Amino acid sequence: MISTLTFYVWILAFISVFVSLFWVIVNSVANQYKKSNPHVKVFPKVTVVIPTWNEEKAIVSTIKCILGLDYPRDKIEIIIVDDKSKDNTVEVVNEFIFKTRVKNVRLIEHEKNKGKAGAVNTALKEARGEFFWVYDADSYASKELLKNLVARFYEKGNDDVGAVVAITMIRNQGNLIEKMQRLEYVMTAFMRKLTGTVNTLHITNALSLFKTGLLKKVGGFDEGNLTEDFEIAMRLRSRGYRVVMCEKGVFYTRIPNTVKKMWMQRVRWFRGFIYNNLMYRKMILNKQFGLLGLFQIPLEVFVLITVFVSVVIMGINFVKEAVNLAARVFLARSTLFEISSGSTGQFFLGLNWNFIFPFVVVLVTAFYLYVQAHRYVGEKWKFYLPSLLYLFVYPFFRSMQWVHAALLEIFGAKRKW
Amino acid sequence: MVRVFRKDMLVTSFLIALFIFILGFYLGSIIDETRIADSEEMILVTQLDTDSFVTEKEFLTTFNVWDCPLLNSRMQGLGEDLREVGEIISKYDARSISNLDVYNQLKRKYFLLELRAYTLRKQILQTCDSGGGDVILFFYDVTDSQESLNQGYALDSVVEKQENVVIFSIDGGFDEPAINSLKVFYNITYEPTIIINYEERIEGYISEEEILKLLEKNANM
Repeated sequence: MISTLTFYVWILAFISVFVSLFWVIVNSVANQYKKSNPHVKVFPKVTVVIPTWNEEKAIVSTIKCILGLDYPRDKIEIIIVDDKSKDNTVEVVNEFIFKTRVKNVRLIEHEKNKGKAGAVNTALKEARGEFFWVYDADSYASKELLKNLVARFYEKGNDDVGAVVAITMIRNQGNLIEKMQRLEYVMTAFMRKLTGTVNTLHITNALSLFKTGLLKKVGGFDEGNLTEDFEIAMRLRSRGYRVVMCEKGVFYTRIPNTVKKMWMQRVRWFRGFIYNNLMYRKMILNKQFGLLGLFQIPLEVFVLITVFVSVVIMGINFVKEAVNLAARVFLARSTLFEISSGSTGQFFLGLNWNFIFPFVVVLVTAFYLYVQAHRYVGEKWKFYLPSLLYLFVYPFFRSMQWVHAALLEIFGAKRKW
Repeated sequence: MVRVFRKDMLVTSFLIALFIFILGFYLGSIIDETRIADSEEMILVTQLDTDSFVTEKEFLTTFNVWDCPLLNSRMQGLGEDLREVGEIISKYDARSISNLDVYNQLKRKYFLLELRAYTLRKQILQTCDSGGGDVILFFYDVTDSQESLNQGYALDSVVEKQENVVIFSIDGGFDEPAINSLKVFYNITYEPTIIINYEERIEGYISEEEILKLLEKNANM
């Protein structure tokens, strides 16, 4: 007889297989086309904003990196907005400007801390470039990235593009936490390629490029938002603009290197996801937004809900199994692992294939996408401890982070970085 | 990057996913058929063993050549076989997604075999003046009862410690006239309940230590 739990697992497994297959098909169709290879014909002026808060160690190398990009230097305007740093960021920047006598680097100081979005908005008011590039102080771009980001706006049929997103890779890959996140970034880059292919991409990140005029028109970044880069993408999409990927060029960012830091970052992201999806709920199941409104956003909301339900179900079952196991160990004086009676054949027949079969199917498709994602970013895939942890352990932590984020939103916890 | 979405991508994905799941159900039904065949074979073998035992007992009775140690030893073996069959059928039953009726029939056959063995053991006890060991009849609740599970674990531990104990486990909620008669006979109104050596009736959970004490008190040996 089918239990409710089995039925639930099957529904989840079916949707997982269906969605995975959809991405497999999208990928195979997309692979029939060459990667976009934007040819740069024009070099419009780009305002690069670097919001800083205690970045005295990184800021100079970041400025040098921008000035060293494969883009005409006189077409780059760098605005550093210091958000009331407590260290010597301001002095370091002033010294750099004084020593190098660069004309296109400006520093604006906030009298009080306004957060990243506030700093970016300050620069937006002052921006004179046609394009607006938000550049995190701890990130760096590959030399060709900017010109390729710009070129994407000039491609045929891209008049409605509001933002171009770059492939993100990570700078620090030392410990296990960082290695696990590297895999996550690989998968994220690949998923953005796929969502970009079917025009459902609705997120920007550090080093995304915007049209300055458009950003000003839509009111700049939301200063109270925990994930202002996600919100701006949702706002652009809600107003009919597209977000596209730039597949040539990469930017590298620093990632949290401890469990605590990573946890806090993810909880902030997920809170932003929940908050912004509620804010833009009119897009959900709205035909006006095509596949984004009818498939992508509902799918993400569905995943969030199932994470909740699954955590509750898993919690209840975990407690029941723990009680049962404790009873078996203490009352039957049994070992932790029950030795099954009967032959090997009976052992296999007695396995719970109702769960094993959908799990195997989902695992195979996930593995295929994992390999494809590595190919996409030009890396050779391999299975090692971080891969296994990422595939089998991290999802549990991720679920708990989702629950943590949702609880903070439900109870109206203060939004802070 | 090109925009390549077509509705047929969604339709194709859905159809392939559906095909995979239909295939899964088909494989599941094959596995279940194999489980049923395996269960039927085990029950058949146990049934034959029981028949063989009854035949041998009748022979010994008719020719008045009782061999109590032999009968006790065979009875002990039969009880252990039954226990193994019961474990496997209940495991298969929990995994099955269909064939509810077939599993009910299998369980019915199994419980009847248990009752037969339980009765035979009583007969031997009366004739040989010794049952060759202790017998516990265990009525359990199959519907998610932790108390019944705990009682089962405690009984497992008893068997581990005393090899000459045979346990006959009966699903108290199973609709079978013979089980109902047994329940009326022992006045079973609550599960778990255990009957030790046909006499001592204990309702509710009882620990392994207490069972061992009661076995000592009501020893058949």
